[in-house]
Amino acid sequence: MLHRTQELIEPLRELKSIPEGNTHPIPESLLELSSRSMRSLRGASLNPRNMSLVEIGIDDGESEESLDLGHSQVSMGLKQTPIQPLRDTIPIAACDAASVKIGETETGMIFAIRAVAVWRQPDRFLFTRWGPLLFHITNSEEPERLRDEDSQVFGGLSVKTLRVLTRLRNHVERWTQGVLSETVKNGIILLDGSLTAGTPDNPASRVKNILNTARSNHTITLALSKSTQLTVGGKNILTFFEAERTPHLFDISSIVEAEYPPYPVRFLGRVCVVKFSSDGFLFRLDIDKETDEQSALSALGRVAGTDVIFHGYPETLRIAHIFSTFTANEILAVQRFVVSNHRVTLQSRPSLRRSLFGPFGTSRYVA
Amino acid sequence: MRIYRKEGDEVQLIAFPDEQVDKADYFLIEDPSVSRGLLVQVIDLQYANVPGVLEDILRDVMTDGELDGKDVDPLNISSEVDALKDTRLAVCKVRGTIDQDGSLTSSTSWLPSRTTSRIRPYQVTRLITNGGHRPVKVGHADGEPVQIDATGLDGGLNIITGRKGSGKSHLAKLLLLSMAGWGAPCIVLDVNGEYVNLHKSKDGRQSNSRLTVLAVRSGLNFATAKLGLRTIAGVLSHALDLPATSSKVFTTIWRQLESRGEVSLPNLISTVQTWSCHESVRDALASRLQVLLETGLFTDETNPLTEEKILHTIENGGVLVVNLKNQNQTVRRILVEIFLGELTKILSSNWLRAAFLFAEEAHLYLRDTYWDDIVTRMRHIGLFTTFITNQPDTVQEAIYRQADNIFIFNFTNEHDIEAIGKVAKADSETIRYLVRGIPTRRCLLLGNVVHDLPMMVDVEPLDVRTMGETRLFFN
Repeated sequence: MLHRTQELIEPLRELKSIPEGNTHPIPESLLELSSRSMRSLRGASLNPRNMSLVEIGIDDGESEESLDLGHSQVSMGLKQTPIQPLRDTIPIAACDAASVKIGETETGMIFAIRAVAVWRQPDRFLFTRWGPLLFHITNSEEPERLRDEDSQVFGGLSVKTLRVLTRLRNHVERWTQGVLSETVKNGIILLDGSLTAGTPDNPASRVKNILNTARSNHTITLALSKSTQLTVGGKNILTFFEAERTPHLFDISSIVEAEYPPYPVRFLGRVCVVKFSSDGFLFRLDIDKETDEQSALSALGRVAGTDVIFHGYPETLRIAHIFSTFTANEILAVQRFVVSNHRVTLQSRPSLRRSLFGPFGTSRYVA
Repeated sequence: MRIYRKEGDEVQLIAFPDEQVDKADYFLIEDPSVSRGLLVQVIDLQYANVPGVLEDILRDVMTDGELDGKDVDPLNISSEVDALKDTRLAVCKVRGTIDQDGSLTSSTSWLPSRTTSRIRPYQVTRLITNGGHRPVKVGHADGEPVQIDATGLDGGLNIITGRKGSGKSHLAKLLLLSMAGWGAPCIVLDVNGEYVNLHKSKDGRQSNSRLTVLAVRSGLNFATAKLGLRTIAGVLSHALDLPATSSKVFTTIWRQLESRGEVSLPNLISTVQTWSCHESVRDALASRLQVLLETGLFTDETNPLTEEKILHTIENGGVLVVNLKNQNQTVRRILVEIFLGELTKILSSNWLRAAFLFAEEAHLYLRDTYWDDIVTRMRHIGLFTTFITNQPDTVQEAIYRQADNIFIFNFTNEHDIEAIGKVAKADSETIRYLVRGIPTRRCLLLGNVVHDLPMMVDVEPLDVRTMGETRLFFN
């Protein structure tokens, strides 16, 4: 059940960006990569992931740059811009992706990745969920063979690198974001995370392309982060803006960018701290840098006026997150699928941590 | 199916959606390494407690109204998720061990292998010999006919219980006619007059059943002298609550009249009125004898019902129906006392080896002390009772503990289920789980007739005028 606090009155025909039919199948290259990586499993034994509830969500953490800012810079006084909630409806869409470990093999690990896009409509939400896709990421010699073949899929990225999984998930998520940037016209795209790019796992060119496509469709891209590792004197930056009660925006781009060298990390958005509703939480918000201030404020007003429902978080993005997250039941189902379709045998190996530490041997932070 | 856990006499099996499992089904967990199998019966079906199901269901609920979407699921993993959601946990009770030669032993002191055991459905009818020498077809289980051996009802105490309209009277009639068909003498204490047409088929044809109906309005009469002091004194004491002091005076009066050959109800009344005794004793005796007179059971002592006549109606497979319909409680109790007195005489004299008494709603006419009498003395002289009731708490606990066979139909009320849970023939969990929610005409059989292997049976239809169905206004 959704808690709706705003009534949307615009007719459906005015929302031009709702995709009709499944016009965006999963790219063949991604399916092929998944299929090929799983083929290497045949005859292997699988140590399934333990489904104790404390471990769920372990792979779903957000990877963000961490930066400690100088205390004096924040205290210099930042401009606070109020957000006026607007009730007029424009297309709003959001997306998210999740990955989860399914189990370990003698040669690597099996992961599942899934992405979701959600479109707000006047009377309901529409979603498309892609996946899960399964990947057997090996740490043996064999992935060397995959490196060259798949390099095109990943824009030159190798499968066998330390953060293959992160890359895979980013790749899927960016692809989903690309779908939204192509389909949403005259609207707002909400992304999970930030618009910071330029790391090997997160190439800037890909994000630039997404932003460019969205702009060409007169769509504003906003990236919302539930947590941020931007700190001031070791204290999370969000805590410095908690006093204000009304919906507002603090632009901290100048402070953040001053702390970073211009290369390789690229801030493709203006970094802000936002509060969408008076009873909501503060979030880090990245606004496409090319968006003018007035348009950005107008977009934020529309999000605040039509989409923000629960704890000051956009409902469209919340649904995208909920629908992409893997539940324990789904992980068990994937394990069952792997066993019955890839000729692997289940072979639970005792957990060394549990053997050594008993009930204290499980922690979501150390597994 | 897979073994999940075993604790005490309970085994839990994991059953996937494509595996057929129902409550009361039997399964054999065969362990090839020890060449034997554990026989278990499913008493309850639950959803397997799969982690994350709550989140899945909550997410599904969200999609019900305001969310609409599609899954691009190339691996079709969503069907695996659905399968896991529908995975069931079959809670089973261990019933014994099937050895290599197929025989059942009560040994349960071993554990089958979790990994190598094979679990397969087991037709338990093959263990209960399905009928024996005197088969009585009671119905079907999983489409297979179920026949019990009539000898399983012999010498025992039986209970048929279930809530109103669940089919208990139907089964009682089926057993009654089957027993009579095998030559067993049967007497029915019929509270609602629903056994009086058992000799007629539904379309009115006469059947082969030899049925005699006795009712107050159809000239049922007893001779006071012929009944004897013991029976009449029993009626006064137990049916009419005559105090012990008055009973002693009555015995003296009876003996005096008997010595003169003048025992009759009018003579007893006139003698009491002139007898030298305390006024209260005289009043107590006179009022009760007057009640006897007013019942109309002693109006024609020239053509009374005697034990010889009763014997004649029931020997070699006759059914005697004592119609208690439309009689007040006092008359019912008087009639039952007289009949039980007469039966005791017949059986004690060895004129009859044994008789089967079917007592419907016995709490309406049986005195409190009679329950103990039935499970002790009456059984030893050869009167084997089947109680039929929809109020299980009206049957004394001792009856449940001593019962040899119990036929249980649907109950939903906790209080009722708790009452029947006292039977010694099955554990209370089996009864609690299996009985609740079973459909009309389906019955749980417990006891000797099923070799103590609880069995669910759809009771056989009966082509007789049962008249036990509820009369409806709109139909």
